[in-house]
Amino acid sequence: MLACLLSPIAAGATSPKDIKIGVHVIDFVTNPPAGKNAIGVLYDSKVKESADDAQVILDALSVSLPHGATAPKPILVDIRDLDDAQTLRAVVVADHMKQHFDKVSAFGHRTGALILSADLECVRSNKCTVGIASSPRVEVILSSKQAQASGIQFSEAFRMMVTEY
Amino acid sequence: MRIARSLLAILSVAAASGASAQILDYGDFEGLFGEPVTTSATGKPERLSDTPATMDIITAEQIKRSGARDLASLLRMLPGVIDYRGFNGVESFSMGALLLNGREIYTASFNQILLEDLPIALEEIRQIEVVRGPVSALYGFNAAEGVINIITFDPSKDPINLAMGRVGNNGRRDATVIGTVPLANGVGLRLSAGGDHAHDVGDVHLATPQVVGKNPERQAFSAQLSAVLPNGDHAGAEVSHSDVTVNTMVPEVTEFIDLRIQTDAAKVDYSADTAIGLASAMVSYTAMRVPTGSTPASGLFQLNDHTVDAKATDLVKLGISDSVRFELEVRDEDVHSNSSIAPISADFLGGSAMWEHQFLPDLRLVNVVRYVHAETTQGDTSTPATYVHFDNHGVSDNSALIYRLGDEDTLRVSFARGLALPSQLTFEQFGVTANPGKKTSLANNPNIATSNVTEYRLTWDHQIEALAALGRVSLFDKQSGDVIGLLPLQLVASLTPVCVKPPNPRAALSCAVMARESGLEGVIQGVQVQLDHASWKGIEWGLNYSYEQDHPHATASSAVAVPALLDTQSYHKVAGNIGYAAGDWTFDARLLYSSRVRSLTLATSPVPQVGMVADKNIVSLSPHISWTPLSDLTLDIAADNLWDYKEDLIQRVPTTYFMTVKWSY
Repeated sequence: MLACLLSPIAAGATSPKDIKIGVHVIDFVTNPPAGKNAIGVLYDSKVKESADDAQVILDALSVSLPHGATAPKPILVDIRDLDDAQTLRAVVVADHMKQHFDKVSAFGHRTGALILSADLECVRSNKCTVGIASSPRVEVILSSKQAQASGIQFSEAFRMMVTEY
Repeated sequence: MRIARSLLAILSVAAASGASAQILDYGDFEGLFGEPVTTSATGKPERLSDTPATMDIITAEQIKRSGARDLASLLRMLPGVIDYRGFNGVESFSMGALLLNGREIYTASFNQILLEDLPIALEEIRQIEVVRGPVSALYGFNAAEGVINIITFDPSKDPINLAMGRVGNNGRRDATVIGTVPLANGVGLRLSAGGDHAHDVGDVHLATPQVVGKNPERQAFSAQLSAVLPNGDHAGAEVSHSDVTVNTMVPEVTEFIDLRIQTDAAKVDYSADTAIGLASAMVSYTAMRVPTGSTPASGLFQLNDHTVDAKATDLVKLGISDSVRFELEVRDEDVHSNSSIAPISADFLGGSAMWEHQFLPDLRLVNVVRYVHAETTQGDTSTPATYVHFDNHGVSDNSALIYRLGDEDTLRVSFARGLALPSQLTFEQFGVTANPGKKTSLANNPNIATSNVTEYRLTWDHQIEALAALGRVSLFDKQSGDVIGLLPLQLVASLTPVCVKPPNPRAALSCAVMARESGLEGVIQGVQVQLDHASWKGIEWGLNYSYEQDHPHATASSAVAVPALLDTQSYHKVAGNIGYAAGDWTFDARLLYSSRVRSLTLATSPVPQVGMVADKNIVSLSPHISWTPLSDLTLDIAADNLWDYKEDLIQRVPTTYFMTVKWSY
């Protein structure tokens, strides 16, 4: 509780710079799932702010991700269609998704997908795997419980340079 | 034999680690966090803003914009580097240990660092990491005053292909060629070769028949191989050769010395992210040969110095709040010199442990402790008259608390105790030992004991977003005890008869410098204020100010000879840089002000007299203009020290102008 109060990180809409950092984080996973190459942008189609944020994320991913036949492809995924999206290597959670955190977390456990979010509360509550913030200082926080439950491993150096919960 | 067994043991530790993984990659992590990363502060990978130690990093971009021709020009701009002023960029640097990718650049025979012995070009450097205060708990006996760790670009990821030529006044002629060869996917080899030449104008010429190398010369070659293996492990190898001619000073006896030093070095390292953490092993070998050296005290001499160093480390994060690191190091140094009664060898065995605990996301405590056992031997028991053997051991430690106070402020509180050993110079490398049979030495503390440095430091960092700058205030109190270099002046005169009435100025200076820091211990209190990497309307600038007040304590004999030794001294230094980029042009300048420093010296006329002499305040301006007409071609015009100044009786820092052409291919 005290840790949360002292933390300088606040939740908010996702910025392109957040996404650039998030894409970089994917590289530090030491056991990427085989055969899964898509990156989902998870949003709530019934909440305008969430849909708008998802579009920002999608655009940023299109710029940040490498191009080529084997490069990961970003796709929009409505939270209601999540159960059908089994081939996602990673999921970026858009803003205004707090009510769906449990469902997102369960999806990660079930499929081994890396769950990224700029809403750091999702990580502190151990529902998302990695939280990213680019301003005022780049912050990367990691939920070791979510990572462990999803079978995701990070390099030792990466773990030492981020804050784990 | 014992060293060989230890090496095998260390290598077996590394080989025992199964592996999969990803290791620390400076470029990847810098790209992620948007700031330099380092392992120099604790041995653990950290962002610069997260290090518990007060440290600075000079980046490749800063090196490029500085226009500096050598490492000395870069280091003297840092806050807290007060005693270092420069002498053609070739003088020794006595602020702690100097490492090149973890291998120590150190001439054990003279107990000093020769910056010119660095076998690489500035263009190969990714960053220069400077940790202030004692860190011998991490790096061993030579780091009692700090550490400078030079990290080069990784040839498997950052290819550098560059040809560079430079001409300037005073006969300056430098040339460097660097090429990187990709050998396979994830495997790269970088080769570099270079040579520097200048006429010696910094040395105030003194009559001597023994000068062996009047002009500073340097030739160097290096090769660095880096391989990221299919399983993610990293293997590296480096070999280098340098051939350097310098006129310099030996700190322990503060004796003027002319040297030609040829150094061959090799290093192999292996690291892996294993089930037991990030494990790594490194073995290095350095052979230094002095085919011709000369000092006033010992005349001409030759010397061979061999050092083997091996270390194994394991770094692991336990849970979410604790990281621990263990290191085992063995080191063997051997010196053979025709000026010594018998060969000298020194064996070191050290072990260290680091523990970091994160109490809160913004509050961490780091502790490091190291134990070292050292045996130094001269001769063998078959000749008791010359046999000398000493055992030294000790514990050094660092503790630091780092607390992030919101988004913009960071507070660091640290305590450090560093230990330094007397060097092999203690054993009369230059014929200055008082009485080997009694196991005493003129050139060092008589008991060949360790000296110690204890520092308390409080540092506050504040991010100034409006200026994109880091503001820092650092307060420290540093106490030194059992300082190496006890050399009462009376002993100089009584044991070196020439010093009673020096026959010429050079001999007089030799006597003076031999006594120069004799028997001094003391307390230094200071403050360092800096504003770094500020940017305003396209103008880049930085500024730092250092103030130190020294309260020396002299040994009784030294104090009687020179009562002024006990006087309190104050130093001020201001260093700044400013630059502007416009299209293909960049304009930069470095400004340095350093207040006068008093030092012990010997007047030679009309009769030899001992006293404290203050040099002048120094103001130095070094402008630099760079033009890049083509993407792969850069022309630089630069000047160092626009105002020539004389530093003391034997050193002068001249104004130098030079033009550099760089072609990237």
